Amino acid sequence: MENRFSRQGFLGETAEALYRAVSIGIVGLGGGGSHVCQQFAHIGLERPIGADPDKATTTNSNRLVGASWNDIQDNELKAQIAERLYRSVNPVARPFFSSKAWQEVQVELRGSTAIIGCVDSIGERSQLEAFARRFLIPYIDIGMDVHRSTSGDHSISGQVVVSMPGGPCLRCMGIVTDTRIAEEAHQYGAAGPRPQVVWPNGVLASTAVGIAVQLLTPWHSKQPKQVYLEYDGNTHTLSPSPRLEYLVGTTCPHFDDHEVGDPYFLRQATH
Amino acid sequence: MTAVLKLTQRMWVRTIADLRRPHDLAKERVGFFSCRQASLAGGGLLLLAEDYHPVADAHYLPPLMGAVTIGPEAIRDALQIALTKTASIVHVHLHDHSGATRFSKIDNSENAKLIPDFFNVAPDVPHGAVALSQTHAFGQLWDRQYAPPRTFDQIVAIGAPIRFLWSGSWKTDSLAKAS
Repeated sequence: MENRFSRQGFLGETAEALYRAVSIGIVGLGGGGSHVCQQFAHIGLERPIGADPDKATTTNSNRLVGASWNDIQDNELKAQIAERLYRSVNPVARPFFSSKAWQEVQVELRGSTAIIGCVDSIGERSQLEAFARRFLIPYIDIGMDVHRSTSGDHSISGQVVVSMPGGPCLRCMGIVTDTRIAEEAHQYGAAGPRPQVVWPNGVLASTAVGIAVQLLTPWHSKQPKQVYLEYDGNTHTLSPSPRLEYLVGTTCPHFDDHEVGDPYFLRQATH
Repeated sequence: MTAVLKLTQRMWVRTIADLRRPHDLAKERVGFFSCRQASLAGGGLLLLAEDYHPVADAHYLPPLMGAVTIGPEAIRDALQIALTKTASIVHVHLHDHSGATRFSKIDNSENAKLIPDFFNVAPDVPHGAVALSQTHAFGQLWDRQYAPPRTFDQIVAIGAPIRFLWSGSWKTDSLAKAS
């Protein structure tokens, strides 16, 4: 029987072994994260680590990959849906998908070679990035939004960003700001449901997966050192953000290279 | 128990550049990573290099055996870092060739004498030693002062791309040199 991964042989001789051995963290198993899970299952990643405390509801059904109508009716846990999907594609995989908040499985997440954040809020992004920096984990963030202008037109936008330890962070790139965090806190509970649709999630999630695969098993030598892609869902384009120009050669002032590791580390915990 | 050593690619490049500098007395240079620690799931251990400390030029002695001998001041400096920061100290030197590398007999012998010393000032954290080649690495971890060392399962330089300098469970493809 032909090797099931023979069509991705261009990723290198050791790619298959690598994807059996490493872990990718997927935080948020909803609209974006469900796409990410599906794709990594196909790629052959055997040890994903996912976290999402939410349950599937009717309003998820327009975009939650892998969710059946019964799942929606039963308010199934997104983590359970993700695990079922994963194992159906890759039966030898050993996924760790938790229905707890990612902060409660952060010891498991520390073992990630990269983390893809598919979370909704600026605050969560900021916390997740800080966690990834502390354990020297490349963090790939995706997000989308739909805005309505005063004319009544809607615009779909989004981003795919890599926050690499030692490189510019989400604050350097203007994605996380104190103003946005404060606005988000102010609107908590007052905002209506945010528009979310499946196709931009697919674009952003697929791009994030491609970036992660490129970090792990590059297939060419000209790897971009910094990635900040802006998605315009009206023109259906992904383009490097103009902000990158101002970041070339800069040092991130927001994260200290020395602030890594677990400040409460106890050697006894390792035995 | 999984043992992983991670450093940023920037630190990896900086370290190799420093180790390649010529020295009047020593045939090769050495240095130390100071590392922070974290537990991994399943009892594993993660060491995160937070800084690289080259041995000062004046702290090299004429080599007694092998290519390099460092004086007591160099070791005292490293001990001080371990004590002050409760840091895991990882001794590092360069095998200046491309490809996979291992410890030589002299490396093993010298590591066995040097690394346990760090437990005298930082007994509650592990310490180790690493040999870098231009493209790969190999290293060992001492979890306790007089326990035999174990080989790191992974040594990873974090950047674009992620460079698995050593991965015990699978061979790394030919890697580009540090740049």
